Amino acid sequence: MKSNPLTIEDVLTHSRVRPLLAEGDVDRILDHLRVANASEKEPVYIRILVGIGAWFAALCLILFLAVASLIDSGAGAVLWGGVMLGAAVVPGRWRRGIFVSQLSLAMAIAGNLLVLFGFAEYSGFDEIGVIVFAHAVITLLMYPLYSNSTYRFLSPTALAALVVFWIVDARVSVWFHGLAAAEIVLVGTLFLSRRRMPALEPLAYSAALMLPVVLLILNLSQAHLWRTDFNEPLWPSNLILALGLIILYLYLAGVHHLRDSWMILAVTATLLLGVFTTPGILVAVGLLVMGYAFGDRVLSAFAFLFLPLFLVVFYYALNIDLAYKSAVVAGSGVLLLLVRKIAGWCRPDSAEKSADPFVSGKRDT
Amino acid sequence: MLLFFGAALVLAGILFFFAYNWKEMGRFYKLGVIQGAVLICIAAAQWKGLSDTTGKVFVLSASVLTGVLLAVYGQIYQTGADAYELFSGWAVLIAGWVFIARFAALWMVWLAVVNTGFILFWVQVGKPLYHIPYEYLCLLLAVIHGAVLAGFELGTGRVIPLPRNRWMRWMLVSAVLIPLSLPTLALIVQFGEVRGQTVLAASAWAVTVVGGYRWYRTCTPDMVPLALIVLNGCAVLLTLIGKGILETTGLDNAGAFLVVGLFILGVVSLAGIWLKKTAAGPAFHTEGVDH
Repeated sequence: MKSNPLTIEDVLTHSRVRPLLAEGDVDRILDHLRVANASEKEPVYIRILVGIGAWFAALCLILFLAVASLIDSGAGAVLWGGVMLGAAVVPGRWRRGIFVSQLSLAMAIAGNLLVLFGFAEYSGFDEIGVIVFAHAVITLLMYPLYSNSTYRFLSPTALAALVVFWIVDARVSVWFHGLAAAEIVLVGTLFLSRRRMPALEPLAYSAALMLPVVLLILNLSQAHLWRTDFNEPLWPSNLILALGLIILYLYLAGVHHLRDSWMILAVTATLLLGVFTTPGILVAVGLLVMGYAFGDRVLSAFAFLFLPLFLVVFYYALNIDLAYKSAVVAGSGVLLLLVRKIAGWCRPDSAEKSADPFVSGKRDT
Repeated sequence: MLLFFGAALVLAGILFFFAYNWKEMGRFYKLGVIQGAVLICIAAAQWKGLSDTTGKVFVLSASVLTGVLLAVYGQIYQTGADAYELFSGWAVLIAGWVFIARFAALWMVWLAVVNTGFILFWVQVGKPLYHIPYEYLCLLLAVIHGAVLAGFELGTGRVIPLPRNRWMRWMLVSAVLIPLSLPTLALIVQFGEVRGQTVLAASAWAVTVVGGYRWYRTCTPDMVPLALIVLNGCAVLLTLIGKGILETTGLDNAGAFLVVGLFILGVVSLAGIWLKKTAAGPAFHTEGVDH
């Protein structure tokens, strides 16, 4: 009998348990547990609370400096911003208690905003590219130095948002596809990586959030909201997303399943969706598949949050008539229902595995 | 998951189609198709049974199609009715299905319809014709959400057959707190123009926060509603502190902003420490914990 307490690894590799698991499951479960253990111990709701508090405290810090006339020029803002970013890194490395971590986060946010303001003033508030470049440099410098997960999530998210503003401002809407492709590569690389570094976890979720946001804004550009005539075709993003989804299936199931009937069905359905649907639906399906495969509620929540938003935005897109939109949306739905039905016939055990978040409230991971 | 996504997209497609208002489709044909679809959904739900997820999704589809039916009716017969009537009629018509289906998604759809109906009533009739203050609307919405939440917590299937999803609890707690917070914050910000109904709503907020905190700390331990309540309490407290400091010193006093910033850090840190201690308590080492 073993004298030490059993570990999860002992259980998973036990001769009676091992045959119950599919190939790769043990590695996946252990990776998941390793990442979960290595990430911050603070519960999510406390991180959200601290993040909101730090945001408002950062605004107060900026107002303090502004009213005290300490940032009356762009150079002054950059200087004070740099000091604050530096000051944030030092206590941030101690990670002692909520107050210190919140103070360092407030200084990091305020410092970041001040540096961006400084560069914006330097460029006469005309060149968004300068702000994007400045924020990209700050993100690259701060990400490895400052270990606060909230900042590590917010900073790349803000970078992607600034790039979107840049694209809209410069009216080069074709770059939406480039940005979406970059986000897809980032999401794929980070979530599918077998040995994901815990430090990259916030970056992974930031990319998973900004991917649908970028596509949502691409769809919004069709609604003539900015009084510009983008009329950017959606098919490049559709193609990239469909390919990304097929790679995801192959990763999850293994290349040796390529000729299985259910894999052929999934790939065919994805290609069909890629041909006629809107990117919003494809990205929602992708997030849903990843959320289910990795037992990740955040990804599933993104999928359920963004699908209705895409539908609303798609409804108001002015370059397509409602009859065509109706056919696209209903056709995508019918296709998904057919896939579900046929997949049930191909794999009789799949029905038992299906998780229903609305009914059970809990899911198998 | 595919079932939900597929059903949602098909329903959205049907909605888009009838919004398109195809001229070549006659009015009887339009209404007949939708009514037929409602009947098919209900028959399919009966066939599948309400314990089956597919059956529940069919009831949800029938409920959404009922709204489409009312909208198309309004599109065909331009009665001049206000939009709130469509939503209130829709809410009444599907209420029975909502109660028997025990389906969280359907409850959320129903609450969204009810909320929209009441908000539209206030915007289109209540405020312009009867000068009903917004505080009463906030109180009404909080009471509705509170009643469903109470059914969720106390009913356990006997009084109101509600589903037992924790995400539904979290949404309901937020839906009770948000409408009550608005008049409470207004009471602080516009203290000189206080009206009786604002004080009433703020009192209801205080009772809700204290009662909710006690309930989710001792009776049904759950950290997420506690965190929502504490976050809400912090927002109100910090608004009070910020208003007090900035009104006393004036907006041109730089130090005041620094002090407010430090108060924010202090209050939120204390709240976080409090929550962490609560989560470490024995009551939360059971099913209720969700980090």
